[in-house]
Amino acid sequence: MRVLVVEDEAPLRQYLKQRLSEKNYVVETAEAGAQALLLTKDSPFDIAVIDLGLPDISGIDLIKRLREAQFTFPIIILTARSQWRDKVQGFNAGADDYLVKPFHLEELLARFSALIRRVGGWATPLLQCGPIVLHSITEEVRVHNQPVDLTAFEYKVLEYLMLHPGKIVSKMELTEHLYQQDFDRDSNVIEVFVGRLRKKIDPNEAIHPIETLRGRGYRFTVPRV
Amino acid sequence: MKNSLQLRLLIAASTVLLLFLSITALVLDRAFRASVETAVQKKLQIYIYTLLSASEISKAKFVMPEVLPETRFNLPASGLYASVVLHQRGNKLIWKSGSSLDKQIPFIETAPIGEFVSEALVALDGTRLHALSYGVVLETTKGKGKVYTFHVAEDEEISLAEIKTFRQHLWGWFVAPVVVLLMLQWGILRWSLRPLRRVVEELAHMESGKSERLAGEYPDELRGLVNNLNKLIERERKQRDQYRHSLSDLAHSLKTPLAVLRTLLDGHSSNTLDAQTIKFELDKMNQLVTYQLQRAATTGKPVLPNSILIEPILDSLLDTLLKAYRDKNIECQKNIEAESVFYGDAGDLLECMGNLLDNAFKFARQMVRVTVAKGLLLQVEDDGPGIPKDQVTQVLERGVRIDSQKEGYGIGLAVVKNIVEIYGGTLSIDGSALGGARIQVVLPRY
Repeated sequence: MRVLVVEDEAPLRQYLKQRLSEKNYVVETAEAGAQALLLTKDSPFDIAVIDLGLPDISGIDLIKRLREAQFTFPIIILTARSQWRDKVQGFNAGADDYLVKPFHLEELLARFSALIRRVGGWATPLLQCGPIVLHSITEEVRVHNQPVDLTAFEYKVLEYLMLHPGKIVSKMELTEHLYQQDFDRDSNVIEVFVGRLRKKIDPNEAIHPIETLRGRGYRFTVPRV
Repeated sequence: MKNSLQLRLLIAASTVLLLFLSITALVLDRAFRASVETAVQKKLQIYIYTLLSASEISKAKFVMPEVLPETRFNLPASGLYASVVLHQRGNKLIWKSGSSLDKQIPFIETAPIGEFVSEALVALDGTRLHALSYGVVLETTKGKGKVYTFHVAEDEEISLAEIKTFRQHLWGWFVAPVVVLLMLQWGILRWSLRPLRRVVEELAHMESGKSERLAGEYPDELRGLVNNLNKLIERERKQRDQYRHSLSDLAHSLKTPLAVLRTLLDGHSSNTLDAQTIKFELDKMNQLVTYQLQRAATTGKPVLPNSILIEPILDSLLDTLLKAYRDKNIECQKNIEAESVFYGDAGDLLECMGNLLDNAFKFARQMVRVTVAKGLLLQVEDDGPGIPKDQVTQVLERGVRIDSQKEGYGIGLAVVKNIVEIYGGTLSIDGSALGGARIQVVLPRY
């Protein structure tokens, strides 16, 4: 998942980048609103964390501009201002959640997954499609109630596909959303992961969870429960 | 009574008016009386001339006709009396008018020749009279002159009656204009004092929150006062905003270092007692800072509070919370009396309701119910686990959590309690029919 972190305080910004990357998020950071807007022009984000007290344009204005530019990814506001008038203002501007500093990282991560799930239409941490069950908090995967052991990246690929069920996800999209920029971007790596994923989840080839569409991408085909 | 401008003015002006009009009436009365008296004198003079022309000297004897043209001389007790006195070897009354037959009138004996002497006399029977005497020399045909004095007297009653009639008219006609003048005066006073009444009305409007400044047109004398009052109100509002902004900035600058410190600790992921203690103390610091700043940021009721419609604020809060707690699928029931208003600062209301609702949403299973009634009652209920009776006081004290696993009620309820106290209201916690907690806030109108 691609995350945009907009935070003017350097230590906090580095901290967020580091910890989120550890959790396999692809993180882009900006220290001001203008920079953030530039970043959004490159490739799409899945979620953003925005501090309200930015040096150039206010966090609220940034959120408004992002929504005006038709970006629909969820936005969490991170701020020291804990007054309700600020929270209401933030939500009105288009934010989806609000976290008050200082915060617990676990809380931020939990809210991240909740928001990302919501985008995919999932109300609970449990993503279930047919016999495949993915628990987005514990990161457990079960098929026909048997636990399946996946590597971190395999898990990420499965999760991404399950969060966009029925949608065509291009290899490019998968690469961008799951890999840091400085990684070697070789689209064949994705193919390898998808192949391995199929073998682990569907060893008997009974389910066919992931469909390959030549030249377009992949699609998770098992319907939601 | 001394405190009413209008009454004061009314009494002063009325007194002056009445005094002035009374003096005028008296002067008129006096003048009329004088003029009546002059008229009486003139009348008596004419009677004397009448008598003179009626009289004759015939064969050296003074003769007056039996019946005089002026009938009043002939009728007894007519009020008009006359007599003639001859001065020859003493004073001899030689003629008396028919009307004065049994009247004894102490005329003066003689009047100088060619001169009128007027007197006020009292007859023997007590009648008051105006008297006029005239001395004259009458010649016989042979040219012999004798000195006579002609006397005429009229009953005072007659002229008095005239004066009485005049007085009746005067005072009678007097009353109506006086009443009209007094009413006009009262009307003028009310009209003149209208700007003052308008100030009072506008101030009442501002107190009930319907307007924010004195907007009317005022006369020069009041304009200074009104402008200064408006400036005062504006200044107070600006000060409040300034204060709030600087507090908000302070919060930001204090909390970010706290956040940084905490994250540094997170980075160590050391579970030593020291690290745990530091984390705990940092959390406490954060709570205390938040609480004190929230407290200081509570503006409380301004001098002339606006009335703030509660429903739109409640709606925007519910929108926000339903978004924030989307995953929980909370059903929120809203019972709000139409046009309910809050007299005070909008930020305080937001803070108070925001915290109450946030707690309700956090702990509710499925249902939250908000009730707002005029007077003012704010009530939030949920169907969560509720707050045990013995922990209610703890919860209301600052920074205390019941359940350390969840974020707990944290300082939210303590902040609400603080705001409620500042507005002079009461906060109570008990159980709800929905199964969870019910928190009631009652705020007084003033």
